[in-house]
Amino acid sequence: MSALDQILAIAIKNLKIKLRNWHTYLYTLGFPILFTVLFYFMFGGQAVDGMPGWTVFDFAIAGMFVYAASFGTINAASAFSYEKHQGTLIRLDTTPVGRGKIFIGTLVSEAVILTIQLIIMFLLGYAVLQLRWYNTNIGLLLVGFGIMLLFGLSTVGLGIIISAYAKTEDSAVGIAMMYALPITFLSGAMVPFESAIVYAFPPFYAFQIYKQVVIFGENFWTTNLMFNDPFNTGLGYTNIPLWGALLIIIAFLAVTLFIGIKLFQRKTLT
Amino acid sequence: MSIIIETKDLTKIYDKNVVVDHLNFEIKKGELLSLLGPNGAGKSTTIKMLTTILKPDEGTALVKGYDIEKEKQKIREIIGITPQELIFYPDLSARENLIFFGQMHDFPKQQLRVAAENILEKLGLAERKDKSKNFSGGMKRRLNLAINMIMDPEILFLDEPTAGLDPQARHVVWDYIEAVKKQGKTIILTTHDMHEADLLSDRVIIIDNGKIIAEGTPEELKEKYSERNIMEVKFKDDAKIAELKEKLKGLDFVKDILVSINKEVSIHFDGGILNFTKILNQDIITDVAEVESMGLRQNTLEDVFLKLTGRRLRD
Repeated sequence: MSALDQILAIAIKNLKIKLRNWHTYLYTLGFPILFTVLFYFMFGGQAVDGMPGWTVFDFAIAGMFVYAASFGTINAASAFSYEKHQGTLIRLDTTPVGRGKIFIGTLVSEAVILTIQLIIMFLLGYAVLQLRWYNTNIGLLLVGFGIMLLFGLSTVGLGIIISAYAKTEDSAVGIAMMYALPITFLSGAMVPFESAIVYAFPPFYAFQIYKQVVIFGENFWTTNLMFNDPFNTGLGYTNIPLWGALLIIIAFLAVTLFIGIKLFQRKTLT
Repeated sequence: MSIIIETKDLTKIYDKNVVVDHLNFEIKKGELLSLLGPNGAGKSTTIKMLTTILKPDEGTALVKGYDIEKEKQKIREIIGITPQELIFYPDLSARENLIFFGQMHDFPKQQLRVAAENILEKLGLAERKDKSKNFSGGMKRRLNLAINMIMDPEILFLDEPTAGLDPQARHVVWDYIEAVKKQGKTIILTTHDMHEADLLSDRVIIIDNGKIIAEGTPEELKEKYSERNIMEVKFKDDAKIAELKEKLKGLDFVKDILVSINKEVSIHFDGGILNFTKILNQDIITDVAEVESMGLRQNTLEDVFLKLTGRRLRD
């Protein structure tokens, strides 16, 4: 059996456990769908100045995707705490599999859950609620999907950090939820937030890139990131290229994952 | 037989408490060795160090020649552990648990399916296809053991494998351990069930407060540390134990009188049934209190432990 087979076996085991628990559906789909439907009824009818035919919610859906993808933190916190508190992590430690494969296998399962979650959210937004995006270009939607998936994965590291310290799986999920929702608000992704603080939070970059690329149809390679300008006062563009903003998300992914794995190892290896 | 496990001053300290205190012992290949002792004696900690889960604070051990600190990976390829706690994935079925842990040991899935069916059949779990969290306590304990078996390790560590099992399930597990032993595997068993240790072990190490207090085959230990005849008496009310002891000391064939905290008295004496009747005829026992039960029995490892520590294992 190859290393790849073992990684897949770990990922499949994780997916079975997750998909057999009703709270997975509540965390990963229930809340984002609820918020999407709620916000749709609240803002779906509001027109956008200077953009005839567009509604506020055509833009706000990006925030819903960001919110859904942020659940990577909650899912990872739950998955790693589960292993830690069930004692299965220690039992796995007595097998030759090694922590490296356990981490990769869990990341694979988190990516699969995130993909399913985002597919459902995209279908809800663009197939069910018939929201608009630039030129109805499917290619742009795929790019947007990729951005959200990458952002979702960047939230996993924080989940691992939380699971390293949480005493139980429930407390890990609670802490992760306490993090995910306020951060989505503070980044201005959920509702407009006129503050420079948004630049400190990765959800802002994911939200802004998605808006500029998928909804405005701007060129990812040549256009810069816009200033935080929730009320369209014409602040214009920053010096950060859009691809540079994506690099910020990738850097966040790498740093949090590195710290998360280090802390988790330190807390769980005797 | 060659030595497969060797400990050298193996020590573990938790918060300044020495829970395993400079243990030195050897285990031969194909041997079933029981680590016997009360709760907190250091048995499980010793197992955790030998299975590379815990790092020793002093000393070391070699498992098949591999150092427990420097060659963890090599050791993990040849061992399997049934932990004292029930550790498996409760949201997976017994079959899924077995196949998953087998995969972690690099076995092909097809081979694992066949092996899983065999083991589940032998341990009476083959009918259950549902999540293992729905199992009874006894079934969970058997699954805990089965996961170890699927890995087909060269050395098996069984930490209290029958704790909490009913007598019937306990026999199923004992039969299975016997069968595994016949395959030439080395088994290290921890238990505080003296009968289990007596029945299964080639050799026993008795541990108390982290130290080895006796070592040998069950027969050797019973011969060395216990008298041949033991009369056990349980009193209904508070018995005048001091008075009883005083009277019994007057009989030269009485060698020892041990009292457990629940006032059960074990009288160790020479001379067999003849002297048993002598004690009865003198009304020494019935004079001190009303007797609830009384009997003569063969000595066991429990008596060895009692003799060595002055306590029963369950005290």
